[in-house]
Amino acid sequence: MITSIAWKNVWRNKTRSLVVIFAVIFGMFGGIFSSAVMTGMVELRIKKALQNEVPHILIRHKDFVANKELKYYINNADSIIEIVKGVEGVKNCSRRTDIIAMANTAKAASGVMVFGVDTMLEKKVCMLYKTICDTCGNYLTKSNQIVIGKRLASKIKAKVKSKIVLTLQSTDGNLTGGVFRVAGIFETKNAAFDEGNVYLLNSSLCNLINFDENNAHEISVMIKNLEELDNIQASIKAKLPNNYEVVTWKQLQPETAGMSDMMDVMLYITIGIILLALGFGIINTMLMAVLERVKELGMLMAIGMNKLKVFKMIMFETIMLTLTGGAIGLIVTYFIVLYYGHVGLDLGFLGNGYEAFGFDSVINPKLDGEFYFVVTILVILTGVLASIYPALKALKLNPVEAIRADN
Amino acid sequence: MKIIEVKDLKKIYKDGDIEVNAVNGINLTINQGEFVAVVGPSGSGKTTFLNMVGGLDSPTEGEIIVDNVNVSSLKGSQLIDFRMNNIGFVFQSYNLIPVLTAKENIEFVMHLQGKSKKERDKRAMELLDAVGLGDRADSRPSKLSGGQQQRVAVARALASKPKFILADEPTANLDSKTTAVLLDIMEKLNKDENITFVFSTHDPRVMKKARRIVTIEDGVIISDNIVKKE
Ligand SMILES: Nc1ncnc2c1ncn2[C@@H]1O[C@H](COP(=O)(O)OP(=O)(O)O)[C@@H](O)[C@H]1O
Ligand SMILES: [Mg+2]
Repeated sequence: MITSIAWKNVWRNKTRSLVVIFAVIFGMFGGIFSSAVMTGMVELRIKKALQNEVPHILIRHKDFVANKELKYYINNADSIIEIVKGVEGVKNCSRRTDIIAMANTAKAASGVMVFGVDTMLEKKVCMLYKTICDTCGNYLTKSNQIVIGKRLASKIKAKVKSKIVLTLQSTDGNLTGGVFRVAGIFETKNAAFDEGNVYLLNSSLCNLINFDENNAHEISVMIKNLEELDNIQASIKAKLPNNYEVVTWKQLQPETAGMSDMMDVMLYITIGIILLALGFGIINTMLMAVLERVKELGMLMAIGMNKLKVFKMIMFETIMLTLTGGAIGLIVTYFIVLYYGHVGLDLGFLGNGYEAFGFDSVINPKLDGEFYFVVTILVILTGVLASIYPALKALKLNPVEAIRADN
Repeated sequence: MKIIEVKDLKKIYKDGDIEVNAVNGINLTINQGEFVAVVGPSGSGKTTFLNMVGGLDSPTEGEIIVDNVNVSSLKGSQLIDFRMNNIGFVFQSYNLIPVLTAKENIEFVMHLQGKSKKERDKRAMELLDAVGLGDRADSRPSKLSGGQQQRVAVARALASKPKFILADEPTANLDSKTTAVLLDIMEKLNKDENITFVFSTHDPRVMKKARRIVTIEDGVIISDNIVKKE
C-alpha cells in the first residue's frame, strides 16, 4: 500500500518528476558512456602496445637494461629459446640484437634504437609488420634493408627506398657504419615508438658490429593467455640462469599498464561526482514535494499513519524516482555502449591529439559487467541517501500545525 | 454511556511574550450516539478544542478521557494507534489522498489497521453506498465535487469503526445544497447506526440540524443546550 501510494505520488507532478528522471538518465549516460570510451581507449592502447611495441614477456641479461652495452648478451640464444618453448603456455619466441645508433640521411640525423631481427621469428611475436601500409613498402627481406617508423621518416626526411646511414659502435669499441635502404615504414600511432626504433635483419646487424650471431640481447616471448602472464613469467624464470632477467610487458611499459588502474579510479570519480550532483537535485525536488504536501501529510498522520510509515513513504518515493531514471539510464547506456563497442566510435573529429599519446581515433567503448554492477549499487545508494533528508523533514511535521496551515 | 469526558481543559499558546488562552477551562461530557455541534465565532477556540479531543494537540492543562482512556497520557505511536482505532476525522479541506480512488481512500485506514483485503473491500463498498457514492468508487478525489469529497471523507472516517467522529467545519467549503446532503447523511448514520458525531460550525443552517449545541466563546463554554427534535 505504502509502496503503491509512493509510486503514484512520484507521478503527481509529472513534469517535475520527468525532469529529474531525465537528469538522472542523461547523467548516467554521460558518466557511463564517457567511462566506456575511456576504457575502450585504454584497452585499445594496451592491445596495440602488445601487438606492436612490447612482447608479453622479455628475457635479457640483467645488466643490459642499465647499460645497453653490447657485452651484456644472452649466450647461445637458441638454446634459451628451446628452454622457454618448453614452458607451458608459451606460444612463440623471437630473438633480437639491440644497439644504439645514429641514423642519418643527407638532410637530418636522429638517435635510434636498432633491433636486429629474424623476419620469420619476429613476425610470430610482433605484429609491427602489419602496420606498414600498402604504399609504405614491406618488412625486411634483404640484408641492406631497414624498416623505420613514420615519425622518424618525416623527421629525417626519409621515404621508402631512401638511403639511411647508421653509425654505431662495434663490439671492439670502434665506430662503424652501414648504408641501408628503407624497405618499409611502420606506423603504430605511438609517436615516441615510431620515432625511436628501427629494424634490420639480424645477420646484417651482427655482421656490421662484429657480434656473434649465436647470441642475442633479448628474447621476446608471446604467450597464449595473458591471464597467465605472471605464472608463466615465474616458470620461465625458474628455468633460466640467474644472470638473465625475465620481465613482463607491464614492467616494460609501466605507463601503459598503469593506465588501466588509473582509469578505474577515474571512472568512479566521474560517476561519483555525477551522482553527487544528481543527489542534490533529487533532494531539492523531494523537499519541494514534501513542503507542497504539508497538509496532506498532516492529515495522513492524523488518521493513523505513523512516523515510520511516513518516513518510508517519502523514502520510497525518492528511491523510486532515482531508480526509474537510474534503471533507464543504465539500460539505455548499456545498449549504446554495446552498439558503439561493436561498430566503433570515431573520435577523429576531435583532432589528432590522441595519436600523439599512442591512442587510435576509432574507439570501441567497453565496460566490465562489474562496473555496471557497482554503478547500480551507487545509484541505489544515492537514492537512499537523498531520501533521508526529505523524509526527516516530513517527520518533523506536526499534524495539528500541518492541518491548520491553510488558514 | 459516556464516551468523551473533558475536564478543566486549557490550552495556552505562547506567541513570543503574548499568551493566547485558546481554550480556557472546558468541562464537557458526550455520550454514545450524540449529534453535537460545537459553535462559536471564528477564533473562539473550536478547532483547538476539537484537536485536543482528537489527540492531535496536547492540552496545557486538564484531561480528556475517551472510553476510559486518558488521551493526554498517550505518547507517540500509542497515540497514533489510539487515534486510528478510536477516532474518525473529517477536516475542512485536504481530507483525501489525491492519488487514491474514493474506495482506496476508504480502505487506507483499514489497511493501516491490518484488515484483510476481503474485509476492506466489503466495508469500503458498504460505506460508499451509505454516503450515496457507490457508483464513484473508482474516481479520484479530483474527479469528485467538494460535497462528494466530504462524503467520502465521512465514509473514510467511519472505516476504522471509531468510537466517534470529529469533524472540524466539514461544510465550510460547501454550498448550501451540498451542505444539506452531507448533513442528511451524517444525521442518518447517527440515527440508524448510532454513530456519535461532534462537529464544529459557525453556519446557522448546520447548527439547526444538531441535537445538542455547545457554544464556545473566548475558549469557554457559554451555553450547552439539548435541542429537542421531533
Ligand atoms: N498555533 C497557534 N499559535 C498561537 N495561537 C493560536 C494557534 N492556533 C490557534 N491560535 C489562537 O487560538 C485561538 C483559537 O483558535 P481556533 O481554535 O482556531 O478558533 P476557531 O477554530 O474557533 O476559529 C485564536 O485566537 C487563534 O488565533
Ligand atoms: Mg477553526
